[in-house]
Amino acid sequence: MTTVPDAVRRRGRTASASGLPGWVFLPAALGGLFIVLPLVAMLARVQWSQFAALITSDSSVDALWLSLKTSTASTVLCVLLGTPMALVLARARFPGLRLARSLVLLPLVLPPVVGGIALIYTFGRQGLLGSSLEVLGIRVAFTTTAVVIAQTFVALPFLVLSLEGSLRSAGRRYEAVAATLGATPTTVLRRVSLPLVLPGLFSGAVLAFARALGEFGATLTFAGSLQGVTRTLPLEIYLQRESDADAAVALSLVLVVVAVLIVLATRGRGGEGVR
Amino acid sequence: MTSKPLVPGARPPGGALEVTATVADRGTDLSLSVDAGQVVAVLGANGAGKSTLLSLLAGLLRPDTGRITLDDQVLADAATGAWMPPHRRRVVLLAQQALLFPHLSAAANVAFGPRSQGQGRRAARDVADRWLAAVDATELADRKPAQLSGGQAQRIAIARALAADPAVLLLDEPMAALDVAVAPAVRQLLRRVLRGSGRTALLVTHDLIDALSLADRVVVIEAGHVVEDGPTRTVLTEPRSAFTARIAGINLITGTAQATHLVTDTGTIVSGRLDPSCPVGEPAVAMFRPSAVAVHLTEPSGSPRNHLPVTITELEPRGDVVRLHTAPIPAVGALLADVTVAAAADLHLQPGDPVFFAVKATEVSIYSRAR
Repeated sequence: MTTVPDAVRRRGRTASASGLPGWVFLPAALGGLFIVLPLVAMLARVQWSQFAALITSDSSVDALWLSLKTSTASTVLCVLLGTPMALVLARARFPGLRLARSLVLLPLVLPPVVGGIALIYTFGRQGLLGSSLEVLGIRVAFTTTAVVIAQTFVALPFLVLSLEGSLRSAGRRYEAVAATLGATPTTVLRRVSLPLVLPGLFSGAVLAFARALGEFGATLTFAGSLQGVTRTLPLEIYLQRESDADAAVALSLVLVVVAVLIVLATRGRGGEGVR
Repeated sequence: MTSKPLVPGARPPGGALEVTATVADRGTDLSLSVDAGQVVAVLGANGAGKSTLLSLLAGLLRPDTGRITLDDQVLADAATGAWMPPHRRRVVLLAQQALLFPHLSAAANVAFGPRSQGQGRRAARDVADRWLAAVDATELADRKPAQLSGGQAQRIAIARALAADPAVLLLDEPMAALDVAVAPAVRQLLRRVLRGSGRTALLVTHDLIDALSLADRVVVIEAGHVVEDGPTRTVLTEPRSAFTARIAGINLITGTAQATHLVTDTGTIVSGRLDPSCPVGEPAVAMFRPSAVAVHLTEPSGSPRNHLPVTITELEPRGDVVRLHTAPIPAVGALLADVTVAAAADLHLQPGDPVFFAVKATEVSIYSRAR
């Protein structure tokens, strides 16, 4: 045993401990490479000497700031709307529950452009609600509000799914005990159910934030691309790509860093909520 | 530990239960009435309907037909659709798992009931402190449930259940998930709080010792129906249902516990092994299996074992053994002995014969009894 090099011994042990046939590791490694390589390629193109200047230009700072503001606002909206939705889906029983669950998933599978068009016909000037809002003097389309609406629309399922999963795995036994101890349904929710699924709520909110930050299609369709008003970071990157590829790469790197931080945050703190 | 000042807070009288309920998809049709302050052991095989009964009482399950009342309040009535939600019933469930809220400290868990019922933070904490003291867990107050052992967690759960001041306490195999080593201490604690409070309690259990030491009355549920119902001693010594006969059919002699033996009211001494949770000088019961009894025609001598003169009243063939029934002995009651068919034939046993029953002290277990 002592003559076997350490690395070989360790690798052999891992492969046998996993119970997997050795050849599975080859396509798995290829898949991993497929994810990492493009990021490396992009990193290689970053002009480090101009990096600071590129990401601090007026349009870049505007876009970054707008993205952070709108994503935070839409994450708050997702938590406020998504938490009750997850509770109803996980705990209530009523006819049409399965249909409701499928509908909640819809923004997840819908092409974002289609979502944007749907939003135009809802909140646009001639839209279902938009025409009434117009009468009240409220215009939504092509404003920062529209960005938040588009981001909330696409991000909501992430929070609902994550939280519903946590609620299901937490089970109802603690809630039953709390009820027999004399706690009203509101008290049970506040003091037992929500604290128990806090990690799931946290990771759901982080995922929703990430999805909102990356939102492109629905935003462009429904909110347009107006610097400082509706042009978020992904839109800015897309535009810069035409005129100044170096700036696009630099801003992309900013988004990659944010994405990595988000993944680390969910893995580290609320990982069990995602599953 | 044994002579602890009892249970905080006096309890208002009440806790009389009336249940007539069916649950179709569980094939359950139960009817039961429990007097205020009574402790009832509910025995039965897995899936017989014991947990269904508790769920009905706690309000976690609606009956398809029937009516459940607690004192003069209707908890559920399928005919009128009346339904009282769990949090207004004052019926608390203590399960096999402690199910302490993992994000709250032990003290906050115990204070949960009083807080939920509208008491202020300070008052609820006082109640919690008193109950933590009553279960000998004051030093665990600030621990999180993850830092507690199984036995400690179950003690906290008992305190939490009682701090909610329930009219009825439902115990669903509260000792089943505990180590053999800690179960006696929890049983002793339960006996103290159940007897001390005069609170109505239903105890679902598989364990005869739980029934013996905690309950006044035993109810046996089989296939969703109550098949046997009576005083603990009667049900366990004269079982009428197949289930009880399998787990019971034992010899029980009541008396007072001493360090190495039990003394009956007439002074008969029964040597045996004292259960660690049974305090000396307290009411107790000596238990031994009919198969542990040796039958002699003359009085055996020179051995440390127990022997009693008895009169055979009946010989009951049970497969490859014969069960001997005896006439009642003053302060002891009727006894049972299982002997092989060959031995019964060799001894020429007949009803009316005087014989001696002998039992080794190591075959006799002495437990505390409820009353």
